[in-house]
Amino acid sequence: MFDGREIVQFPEASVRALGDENLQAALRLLGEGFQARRTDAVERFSEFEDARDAAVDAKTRTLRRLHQHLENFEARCQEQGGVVHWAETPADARQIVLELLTSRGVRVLSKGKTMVAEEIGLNGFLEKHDIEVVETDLGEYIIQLAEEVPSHIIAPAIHKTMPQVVELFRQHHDQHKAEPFPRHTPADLVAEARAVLRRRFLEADAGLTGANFLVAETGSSVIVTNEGNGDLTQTLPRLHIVLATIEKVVPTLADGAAILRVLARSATGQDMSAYTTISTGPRRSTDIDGPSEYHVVLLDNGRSSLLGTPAEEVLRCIRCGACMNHCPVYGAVGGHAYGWVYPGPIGAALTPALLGVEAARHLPNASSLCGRCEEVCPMRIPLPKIFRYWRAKEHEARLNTVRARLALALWGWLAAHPRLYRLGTGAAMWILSRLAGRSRRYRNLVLANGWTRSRDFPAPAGRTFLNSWNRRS
Amino acid sequence: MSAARERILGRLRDRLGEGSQESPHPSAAASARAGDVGVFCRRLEAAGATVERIPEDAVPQAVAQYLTQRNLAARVRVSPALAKLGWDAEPLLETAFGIADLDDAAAVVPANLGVAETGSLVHVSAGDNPTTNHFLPDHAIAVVAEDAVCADLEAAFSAASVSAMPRTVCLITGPSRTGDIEQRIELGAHGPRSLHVLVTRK
Repeated sequence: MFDGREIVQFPEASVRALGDENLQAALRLLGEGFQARRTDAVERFSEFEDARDAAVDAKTRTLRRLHQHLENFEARCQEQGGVVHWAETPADARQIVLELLTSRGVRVLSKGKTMVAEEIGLNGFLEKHDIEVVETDLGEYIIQLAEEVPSHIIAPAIHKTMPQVVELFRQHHDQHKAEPFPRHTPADLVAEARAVLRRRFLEADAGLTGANFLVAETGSSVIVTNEGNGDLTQTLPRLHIVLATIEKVVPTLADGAAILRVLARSATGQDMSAYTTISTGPRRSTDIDGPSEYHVVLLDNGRSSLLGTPAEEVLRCIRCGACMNHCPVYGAVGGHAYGWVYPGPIGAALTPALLGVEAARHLPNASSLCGRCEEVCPMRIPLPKIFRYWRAKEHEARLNTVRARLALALWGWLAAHPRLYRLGTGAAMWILSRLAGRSRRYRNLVLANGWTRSRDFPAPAGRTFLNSWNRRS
Repeated sequence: MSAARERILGRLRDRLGEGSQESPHPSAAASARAGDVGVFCRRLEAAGATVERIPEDAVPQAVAQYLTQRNLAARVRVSPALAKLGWDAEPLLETAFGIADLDDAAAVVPANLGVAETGSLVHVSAGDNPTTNHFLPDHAIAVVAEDAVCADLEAAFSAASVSAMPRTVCLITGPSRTGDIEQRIELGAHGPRSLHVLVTRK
């Protein structure tokens, strides 16, 4: 549970992650899994770049007039019989949900996948108030059994191997069953979870989902899923609660279509996810199923204060997960090392905004600035630029080490004196080249032992790039 | 709670300025452009569905045949909207109308529209078209008229919301699936394991 505001620090957590064999085995599948599927989907769709532009445009227009779209959303939602609640903080949102549940005598809550519920630490809070929470997305269900948190925003149990899931199911499902389920293939495990969760959908008095987006012109919430659990969650119980953050609203259904064209392709490499469902208000008087109440909780949690800052572009994020699927750092350490709800590059850009630069100061530094995240981001969020913004904030607040500050000061001074810089680097290259010997590499190097502790440092060619360039012309 | 509302909207107004209402690009502008039925069927198959093109009056027969081929019991839940398809023509096929429950292995459901761009079926909830039937049974058999296939998402959205929005508009693109165990795709996570689509012509 992400209760409270504790955050595991990246430097220690990442070292542990590198030594975790199960995690490393699971992460090795990223290349042939998410990455290959996205590449195929983008190659199949020749208008992908235009679709990206249209999606970025939809969200940019939204954010420019966010207050108006939210007011429109609220008005349309209420016209259709829905109720809109506003929450500034995670505590406010938790309280709103709790009151909705307790005032209606809800004992069992089924849940579709929602990262915002993780952001506000909802499950632990509700369980403390004796409400049973049943995660129904398979990945979320697996980590609920394991008492862990998601390590990926669309594949929460991506860090688990199949033998680990088999073990979890054995521990949790076998006590009530004379004959255990067969557990030889992933298909067996999917069938087992389906069988166990079927009854739970019907037992639940309320269903809670997130929203991939909200539509202002119709007052609707939209979820995009593959399993169908979200639809059962928002159809079968008598109360449907939607938990969404304020930047999720888009003006029109057509803007939603623009986002849908890039979402599944970027996320799972599908042209379209199996289910895209638009919910508007409670069941109508002539309907024979559907919830009789529909509530939307709109959470701010710091997002309104991001507008107008250089980090505001993170608010375009549609939570597809492409940035983490393609990040070499995420691929090496997985999601838990990031220490809070949102892992990977988007986490490194968003977490400092939500928790503060001090608590999250390591995350913007957990990047080589290679830029793959920005390259694959369907919403063209300039993630490396945002990392540099947070790094500058960290420096301004004097949160980095004295050594880092000294090094930066020296570098800054040198860079401002080009002749000295050229002289210094030219001399250094020459010396390093001459001293390298026949192996052409260093096993130890003063001032670079952070590098040479785990790998050799290749000897420079003897001249700087600038020297070579000047000789050439 | 309204205090929270005022503070959130106030912060947004401070940062964004009151400004004029920006007129949104209206969705309704998209006309109900007809879509290519062949493309629609190919995309549906690519998404893991099976597709059959049949005359409108052959639905009961096609359902009975499908159940036999799949080795399923000759018993289906039929959404009330499809009650008048002449089910008596298949006396060996047991039909029950209304909302599906956990005992229903297969359901016959209507799709109000098709989307050629994505190979999606569009379910629009109504008194005779409960959402449950699309999700609870193991096998979904969907019936869609070929002249209800529209070109793209915008056309489908504008057709689905032409009067007031219903409780549920759902785009269904293939059977239920998950990749949550070692990123391997498995069908039938919580919704139907199989989706068979009957595309009907007049």
